[in-house]
Amino acid sequence: MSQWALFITVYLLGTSICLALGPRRHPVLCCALGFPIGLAVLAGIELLFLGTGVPFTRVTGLVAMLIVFAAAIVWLRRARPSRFVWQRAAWSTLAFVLVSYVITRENLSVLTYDSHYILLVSGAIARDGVLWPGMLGMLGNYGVFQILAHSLVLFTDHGFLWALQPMFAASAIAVFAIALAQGLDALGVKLRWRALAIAVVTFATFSIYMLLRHAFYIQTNFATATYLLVFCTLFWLSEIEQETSRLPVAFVAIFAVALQRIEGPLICVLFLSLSVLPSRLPSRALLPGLLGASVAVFGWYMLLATGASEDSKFLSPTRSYLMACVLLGFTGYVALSRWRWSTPLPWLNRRAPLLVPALFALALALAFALQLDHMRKSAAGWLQCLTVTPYWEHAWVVICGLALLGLAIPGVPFRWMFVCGIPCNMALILLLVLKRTPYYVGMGDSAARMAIHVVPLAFFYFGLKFLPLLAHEPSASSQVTGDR
Amino acid sequence: MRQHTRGSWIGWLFVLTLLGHASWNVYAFQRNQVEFPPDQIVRPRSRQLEVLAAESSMTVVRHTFASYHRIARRFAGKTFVIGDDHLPHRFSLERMARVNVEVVSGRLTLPDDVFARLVPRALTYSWHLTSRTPLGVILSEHETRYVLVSREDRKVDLLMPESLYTHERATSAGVAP
Repeated sequence: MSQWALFITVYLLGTSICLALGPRRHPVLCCALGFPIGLAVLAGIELLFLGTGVPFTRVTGLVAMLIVFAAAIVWLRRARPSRFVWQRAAWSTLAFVLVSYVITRENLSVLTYDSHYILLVSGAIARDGVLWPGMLGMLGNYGVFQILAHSLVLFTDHGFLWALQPMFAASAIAVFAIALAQGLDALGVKLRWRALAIAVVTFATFSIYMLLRHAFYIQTNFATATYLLVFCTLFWLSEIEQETSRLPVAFVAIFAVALQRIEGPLICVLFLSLSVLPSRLPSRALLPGLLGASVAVFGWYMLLATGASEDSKFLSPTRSYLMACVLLGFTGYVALSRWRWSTPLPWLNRRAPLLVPALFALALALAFALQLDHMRKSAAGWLQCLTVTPYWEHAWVVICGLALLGLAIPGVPFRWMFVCGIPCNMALILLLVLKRTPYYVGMGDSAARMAIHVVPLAFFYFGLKFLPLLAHEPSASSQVTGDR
Repeated sequence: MRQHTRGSWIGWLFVLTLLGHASWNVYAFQRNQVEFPPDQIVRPRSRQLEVLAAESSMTVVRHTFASYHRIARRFAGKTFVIGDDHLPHRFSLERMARVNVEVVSGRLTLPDDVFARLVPRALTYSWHLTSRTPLGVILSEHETRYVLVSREDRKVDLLMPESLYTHERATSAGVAP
């Protein structure tokens, strides 16, 4: 099988799952989500195999894929999608086939030590189909998702999947543009040059050098940004439309974020706190997906704890247990707080958009108080990275400038994931330095790379906030909310 | 004619900012493509991991990781006998370089003069299991067992057929092989 054929298989798997369990009224969005969701589901299946000791080989992998695909198709047929859905899905699939064909023609990947390490470990898993003793310790240094994704090379006749990162980038661009269009629709915005305006926002976002480079760089960051974008946009669209069909897919994305990097579960809890806690969506739509993702993440980090080294500078057994419990603990809290007798907790939940930033501000103040030199050195290095270096250029200056400009106009409903999530995520990055060497000025520095995670979210929000100002009819929801 | 509000001016300011930002991004990309080191820019590359690793500017990748790929290409499925001083390489040799590993207690060494004699027979000295120690490789077509030997000063490693190692060991000890 060629890389191209593998990506089409992953896409078909993901698209069928999105159409079966997700927002099938929006077939183009389902198709844009097809590749990342298909890959996340495959990674989950592979993790289940590896975790339970069942070899993940070409045969077992294909059988598992066929079972999931068949189940999705049966589910989809029961829903009897309209001719419109099939037509749109067919055109979108044709677009995917063409784009993936072009992307898989040439290896443009950028590789560093981390990339080679990921490819060596994924190559070993692809050949053996099992996690050997000693391998868990190696997986503790990085998130497991990229390793699982690259180990799908076993289905191909290539040395490695050089086009995987560009495929993520293409999917992220499609999800960004389609979700922004749907978001403007949901806000009741009627723009004369809507497609052009969305294209400008999309191009301005993904042409930032750091994002462009990471679209080819074998690392965890672009994929984390993609899945975070998928989760936040789908959750926001569900909230604004009070329609829950997107949620199962959103929670698959949260599962993928948790496995991308070793601090993934913390990023998940941050964004879930700002989305799920103040949400008005029904518990029966929220809890199953959240519980499924949490249990899967719990299982993986508990397994990782058995192999993590006590003296690892990245992930010790104690930290593995913490990562295992943090998401499951959050889910337990959500379930408890939505129980009808838990009176004070819903009050707290409604105030999560205030409490979460306050907690992060307090944590940052404490961190600076306790390790002033370490924190100051890291913050200064990071700030320099984000503002004056040739790889970030002025991107963060533009983001901060637009955020300030946004204070002059009404806010977007359900905006907490964006307006609180992005600064809190930056605070989290700064707090993560407490247990490691200081951040430095350099393209390979973790903090410089992790800042990528929220850039698409920032521009997505700016699109929702500023583009309605160009509408020839005022948007209904902007008038209703009117707050800043 | 539509009346312009403060909001619409802010909207146009947003679009202009994005256009300026995007134009600068295009400039920055082409500038960085020229100014950044060749292994850091986006450009067509080989599809062979071994070649990519060998071309890397990072020492560990260029030496250790590239050697795993080279060993995998030439020795996959064969058996390496290593001393316990090379034990840290066991996992990588088995899982990444795809060779079977047998560990014997103690160091496997040969005297300096034997090393000096074997150097010309080595296929290469550009491989490295660790960056500090070059690894010489003596290939034998039908040999399935190889020994990883260190020079006594630990500054050079040599991968040689087990039969050759046994012969040299016996010769240097003054015993007929």
